[in-house]
Amino acid sequence: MKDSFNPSIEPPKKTVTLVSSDGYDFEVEEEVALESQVIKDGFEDKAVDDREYLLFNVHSDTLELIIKYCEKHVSSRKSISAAAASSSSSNGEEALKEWDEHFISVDTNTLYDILMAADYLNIKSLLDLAIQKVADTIHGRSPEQIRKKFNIENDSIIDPWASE
Amino acid sequence: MKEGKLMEVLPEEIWIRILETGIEKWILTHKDICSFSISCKNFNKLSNDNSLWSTLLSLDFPHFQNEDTSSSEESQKNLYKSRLEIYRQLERDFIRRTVFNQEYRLGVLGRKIKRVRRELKVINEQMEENSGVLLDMIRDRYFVCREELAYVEQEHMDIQKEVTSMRTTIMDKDGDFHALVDVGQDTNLLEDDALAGSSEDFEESSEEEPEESSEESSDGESEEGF
Repeated sequence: MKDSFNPSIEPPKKTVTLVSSDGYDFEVEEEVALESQVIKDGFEDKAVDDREYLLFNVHSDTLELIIKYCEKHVSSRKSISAAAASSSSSNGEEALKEWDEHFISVDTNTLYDILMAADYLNIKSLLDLAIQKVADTIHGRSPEQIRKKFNIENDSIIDPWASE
Repeated sequence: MKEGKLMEVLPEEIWIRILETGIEKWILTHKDICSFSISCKNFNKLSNDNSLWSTLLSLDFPHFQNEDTSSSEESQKNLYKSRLEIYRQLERDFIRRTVFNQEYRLGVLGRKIKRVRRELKVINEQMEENSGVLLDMIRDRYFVCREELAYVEQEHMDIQKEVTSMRTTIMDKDGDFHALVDVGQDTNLLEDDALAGSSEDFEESSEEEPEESSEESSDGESEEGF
């Protein structure tokens, strides 16, 4: 699973290789990788046979999630625009929202990893999704609950006269 | 994967974006920002960001906007606090007036109830004394009165409930308001001396206690630590 993400059906699609911080190769379709603004920005400068990206900040566990997200979004976009072209009504956007909601319902550490990776790779929609998730997590919680949720030590009883 | 306190070391810009986005999308209120602020030192520093509070200001008090563009030097958080005080004062006055009006209405309804009850008593006596067509008419009148009484009594009860709950609200808000004022003076004193502004931790917790559920407010209290 970790070695190849290429479903390789039908005409061979262009792929690029993403290498996680712990050294795993992920082969993904070009358009999936291009969901990352960072990859997109430097894409044209790279030679066709050198489409390999070393993602030093992204662990394979996280990269797998990120790729899953990008693949889903690429394919959803296609089916949504196809539905729009044939002017048939579709609940594609609604379904994608639900999928996103489910996708981002992860534990705090995973959420952190996704945040960092989305920021690093500059995948705006994913970053927004994760950011909103954290905001939802904060909402309506007491300081103690926030500490618990984010695993923070209670250092807030501060002596105002003490030097920092 | 690493253990533990990951969220705490998330870069500052991302935390600010989280708070900003949360505020802009109406997910986070000033109370949430305050809770966040007193959960730890890092978050306290983050949440004092002026742009956050000025967004909150424009969302929560849009009609205040034009006045003090001059005081851009001032901490937006303090500005927010003073507007919240004014707002709560207005709100409290409004509730007071409403309670006053409703109490007057209760008096009117109370008198009406007495009158209808008296009438019913008279009708009861008449029913015993009369018969035939007259009795039918009296009976009709009797049912009309019963209906009216039930209606008025219900209204009386509803208003009574409303007034009671408003009185509780006033009491809560009074407590809230005073806590806010006391703390405000406190921090002004402290801010002159404490450069880091870390004393603000205390202010926030008392600001939100009174409005939280009892469970949460006890949490807040233990926060204060004096």
